[in-house]
Amino acid sequence: MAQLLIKAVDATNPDPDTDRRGCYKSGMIVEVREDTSPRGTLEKWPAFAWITVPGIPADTVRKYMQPELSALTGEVTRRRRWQIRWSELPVGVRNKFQATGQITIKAGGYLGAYDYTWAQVRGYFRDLQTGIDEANDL
Amino acid sequence: MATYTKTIDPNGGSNYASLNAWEAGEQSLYSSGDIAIADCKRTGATKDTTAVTVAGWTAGVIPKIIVNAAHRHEGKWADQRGDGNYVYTLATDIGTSTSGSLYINNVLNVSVDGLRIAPNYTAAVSDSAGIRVDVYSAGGNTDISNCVIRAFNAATAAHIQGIRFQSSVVARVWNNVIYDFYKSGSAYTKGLNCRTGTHYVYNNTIYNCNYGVFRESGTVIAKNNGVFSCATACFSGSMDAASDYNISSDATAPGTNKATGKTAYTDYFVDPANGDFHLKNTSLALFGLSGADLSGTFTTDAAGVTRTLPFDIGALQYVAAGGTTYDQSVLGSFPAPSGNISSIVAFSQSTTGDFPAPSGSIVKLIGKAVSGSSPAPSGVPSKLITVTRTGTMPAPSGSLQEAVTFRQAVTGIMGSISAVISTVLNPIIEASTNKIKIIGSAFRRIIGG
Repeated sequence: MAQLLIKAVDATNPDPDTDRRGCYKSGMIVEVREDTSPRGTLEKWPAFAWITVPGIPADTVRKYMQPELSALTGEVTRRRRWQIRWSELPVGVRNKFQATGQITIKAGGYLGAYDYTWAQVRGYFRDLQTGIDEANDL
Repeated sequence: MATYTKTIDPNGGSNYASLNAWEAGEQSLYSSGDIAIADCKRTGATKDTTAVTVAGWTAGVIPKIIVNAAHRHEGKWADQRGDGNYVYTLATDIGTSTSGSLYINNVLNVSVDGLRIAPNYTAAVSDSAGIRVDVYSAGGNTDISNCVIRAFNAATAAHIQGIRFQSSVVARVWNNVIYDFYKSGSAYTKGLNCRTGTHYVYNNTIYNCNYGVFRESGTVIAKNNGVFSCATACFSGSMDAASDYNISSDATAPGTNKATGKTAYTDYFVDPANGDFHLKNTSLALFGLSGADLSGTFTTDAAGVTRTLPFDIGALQYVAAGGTTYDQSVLGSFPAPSGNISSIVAFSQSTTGDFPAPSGSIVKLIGKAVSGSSPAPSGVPSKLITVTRTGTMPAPSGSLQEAVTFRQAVTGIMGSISAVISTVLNPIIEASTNKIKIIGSAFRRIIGG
């Protein structure tokens, strides 16, 4: 029962190293919560977007909020290892975000209403460390 | 320069539902000199379970993580306060994260105040901490105050710390309670680890760790700290010569004025096994040592109690039974008396107990209530009386004045003519019969005739 809080705008810092290590970029998954968890009044479009994945435990998708770490030193090299390719999202998805601030993804055995299936959206989840898009099921 | 305060509550009804989301939402919104405050509340049982990293902030912006006074711990490990409010708690599963529960990554002037932190170690991770600070840039401080930090399942980890300064130019650490960062045989499990930079370590209580205060490098000025039951050493590494007034259960406390070999923990603390490190007496009575006067730096203890002189050692000032001296600036102002007698009596009791004499408006309010001699109303009361009389007076009617006037006029006239009425009765009748109009002048003529 997961919901993902997504940064929908870039945070920036004039120092390139600080910007890379510390700043959230649009499409980065800020947080994963159980879908029963409350949302803050500022956790909304246009600063943030939500992806809800009914029926999928939060722990299953928590990996998407891990930072990117240096294999050599273990230091944080990027705020998040995974990022949704925000600017490449289909127009329909972008319009849905703009209209409602969220989309619902069907995964697993979920039978309720949804906007897209996980198979449709997972390819937009990119592992920045490897450059490979997600291909696995939830 | 402006201050932007946002509320955080994992139970909803706030700007953000986690500190992590606050950080993500606020990190690049403001300008140098602005202050961004996270006002942390917890209005229900749900805790904040997401680890937080503070990084990438606009240079010069000052982030402050401050637990709201109504949801702040009371200096001991408890999920709820005495008033029933939940204590804001950052309770995170660490996993393999070296960042720990709260990670300050090269942001200057971050303040963390009043946070209860519970890192739960689920994997053999190293250098992960309740609070980890990596600050490489000069020009600011990192302040960590009044926090309670406890490790869970420390034996699962490799080596961990309550607070780890990986690198910090200037760090100020005071009034924190740190305990249970202990793993058997671990050389690097510590309550407080100081590495590079200058660290002012004042009035902390550290208990049941492998090391208590560990100077890895840099300058450490340790004053008024109480460090107990640490398996390897309570203080390790050369502390700065200014270090003084520390207590340890072993022989390692630094300074000229110190107390060592203090191991009767249950004699010193209310309930050390359950995280209550309130002193049972003054540190002078318990250890033969009071702390240095640091009132120029801070004036309260970890629970918000005003520190009176002499300072006690450790994070919590001793309070004699029957009274607690609260600092209004920390706990908020007294409620305004509403005129209810019982509430005024309650204030009167507090002034005769161990509270300090209430100052300012409170004293004035009590004075009025006790004496009962309110000053004579002026201005407004006199106006009120005038209004009342005017409102209750019956409105004089014109008919009464006319009646009096008429009666006088009739009496005078009737008196002068009554004696002759009978004599002119018949003429009157006759006149009436003859339909003579009787008026004043005609009447006189009849009488005269």
